[in-house]
Amino acid sequence: MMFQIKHEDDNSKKYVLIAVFLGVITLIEVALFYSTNFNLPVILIPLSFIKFLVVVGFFMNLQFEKKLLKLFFLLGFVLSIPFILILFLERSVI
Amino acid sequence: MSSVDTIQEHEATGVSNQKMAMWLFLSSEVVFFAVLISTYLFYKGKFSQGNLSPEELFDIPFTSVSSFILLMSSLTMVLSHNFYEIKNYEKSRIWIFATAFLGILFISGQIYEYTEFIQSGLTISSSIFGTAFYFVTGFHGLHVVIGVILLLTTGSQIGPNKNNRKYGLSIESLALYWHCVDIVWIVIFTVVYLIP
Repeated sequence: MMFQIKHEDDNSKKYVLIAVFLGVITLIEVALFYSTNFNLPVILIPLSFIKFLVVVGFFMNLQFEKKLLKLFFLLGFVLSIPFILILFLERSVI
Repeated sequence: MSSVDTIQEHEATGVSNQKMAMWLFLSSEVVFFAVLISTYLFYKGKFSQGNLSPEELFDIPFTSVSSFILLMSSLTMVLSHNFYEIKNYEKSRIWIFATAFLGILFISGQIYEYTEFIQSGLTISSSIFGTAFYFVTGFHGLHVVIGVILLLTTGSQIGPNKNNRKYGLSIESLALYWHCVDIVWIVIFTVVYLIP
């Protein structure tokens, strides 16, 4: 099977805007860290998850990839669940 | 290979073998770091009596700058890949070297941070917290170092007057690896450094 190497348009501006967005979220995270009025895990975990999704979706281009590759990536998260559960059980025994 | 603009692959999935292998590798990396970060969370409170707590040790402004540097290295990497795809190999090479530079900067910051922590009494053997902390951040740092070596190697192979077309999938795989290293740090920065 032959694959064409993509010759896309220059997306530099789009990527710079995405990076600015990621930078702003990081600044918000640090600002929240110094604020005592918030429940940090409740706010920081979703913000971190947004950054994660943006990098995976736009920089790694997973949103435009085939379903098979998306499943592969998801597989890593599914496979890590039993390991984390084992750790949790080990800790409760200790 | 019938054309300089095509890469021949042999598979039935519609995805090149190299790309599929890279995504499988990244999937295994997700498992690896998920377990390491979970281990850290389980032992976060187990630091020795007399030692400083994580909240007292961590220099958040400094680590925030490091995080920003790594985040921007993802931008330079995606720009390199973008310029490669539009056949601007000179710019692609420049951005690859910029990514390597930012990676080196990040590692330098981590070395400085480790030096400070060791001087404050937090070593890999001082407590379970120390072991878990150095394992999580150390393995991430090792990935950055490997990435920098790959970036410098690939960057030296592309450019004007070189046979650039054969490096297409390599640059894409390298970009995927680098972004994966970045997303792992996004999680580490939040879970290890920011959440009390």
